[in-house]
Amino acid sequence: MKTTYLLLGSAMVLGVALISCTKNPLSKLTAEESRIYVTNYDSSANFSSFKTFSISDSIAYIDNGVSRKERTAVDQAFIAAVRSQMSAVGYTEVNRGNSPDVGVNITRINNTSTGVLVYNNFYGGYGGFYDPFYWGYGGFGYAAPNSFATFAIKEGALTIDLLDLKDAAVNKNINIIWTGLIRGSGIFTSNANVQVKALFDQSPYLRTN
Amino acid sequence: MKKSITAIVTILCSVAATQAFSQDVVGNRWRLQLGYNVSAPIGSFKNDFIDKTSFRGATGELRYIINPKFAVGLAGGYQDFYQKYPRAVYNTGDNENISAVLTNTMQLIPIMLRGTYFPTGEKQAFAKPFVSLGAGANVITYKQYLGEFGSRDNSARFAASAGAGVLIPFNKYTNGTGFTLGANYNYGAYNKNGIGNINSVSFNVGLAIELK
Repeated sequence: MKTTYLLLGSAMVLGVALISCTKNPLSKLTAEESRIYVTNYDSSANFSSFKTFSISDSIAYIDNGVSRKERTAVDQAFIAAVRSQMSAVGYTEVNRGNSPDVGVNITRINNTSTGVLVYNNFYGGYGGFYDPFYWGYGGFGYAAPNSFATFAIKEGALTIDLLDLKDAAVNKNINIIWTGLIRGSGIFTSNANVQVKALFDQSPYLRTN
Repeated sequence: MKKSITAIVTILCSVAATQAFSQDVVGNRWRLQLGYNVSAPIGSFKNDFIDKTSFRGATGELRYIINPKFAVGLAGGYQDFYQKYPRAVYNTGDNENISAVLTNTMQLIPIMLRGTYFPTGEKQAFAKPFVSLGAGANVITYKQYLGEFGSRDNSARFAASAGAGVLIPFNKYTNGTGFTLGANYNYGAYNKNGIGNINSVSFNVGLAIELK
């Protein structure tokens, strides 16, 4: 009987000791390390056929499923970062009225209370966030190739979408040809340039030549 | 592999059983063995998942002395493998790329039936060498994190191990109680998540206790 207690006792002590010495991977990550940069593109798109782009001066902020336009200092930093990266890979910025080949939409997602948002389904509501009329194509819808990232978004995320405006009239749709998604901790409190550059750096096909 | 190990264990057990009680056993037939375990992944485990040696592990075995030269026991253990890889870009789909810091972890709980052979039997000696052979299963917790986003997979797979070591009794009156030192080759079946096996080589130091 004594032996049984001894065995049970030592097994329990050992068990607790072992579980407590297991490394917790999340506590070993800095905010920078916690972030992932996901890119995806429409393989039928010829990125060098586009020359000009236009970017909205505000972003769409989706707070638990409700969208509105925002233009905070953080949003402006991301807009400036995308503008600078697009220029760096050879695209020329023009005014929205001057028939840009590519439109750029930036979306900030805060999803603390509604649970999980699946990224692919997100495009279903895309027209609700971005009025196609903004790009001069009222009546058209948005279309995303179904190969795009299937990520569930739990907390915060930032997405950058490049839209094919050049072929919208022919396609009768505004096709989303490239998507960059940033997820993780500290997206909105860290350097926007570094984060946006990471997305462009891993997309070598995204350039004018 | 599986069949041959089962066969060897069966042969060892039957040889031991025929010799049972033919010699005197000193002390209690029940022994407890507890040890600290260091484990180094090898093969596909090392190449495809984690190449860092784990210093977070333990082993335990409740052993029954069938005869002075042979014991069978129920062995359990725990090992925590962890590795963080620097940021890199991974291709995760046709056109999809993810830049992430990759963290791989695996927790193993091996549960085995093990036979241990002491060539010197219960004769008093400064050091008593032993060899062991065990077979059972690993309870496996696989986790992979891209940044802070993780996936998890639990499974149980066949496991076997072959080991050798030495028991150093505290003094001549405590023949079965003493320090132990050992090394094991561990075979672990696994064929998921791009990992072909979870084989490892491990080293342990511990205590063997003759239960009263």
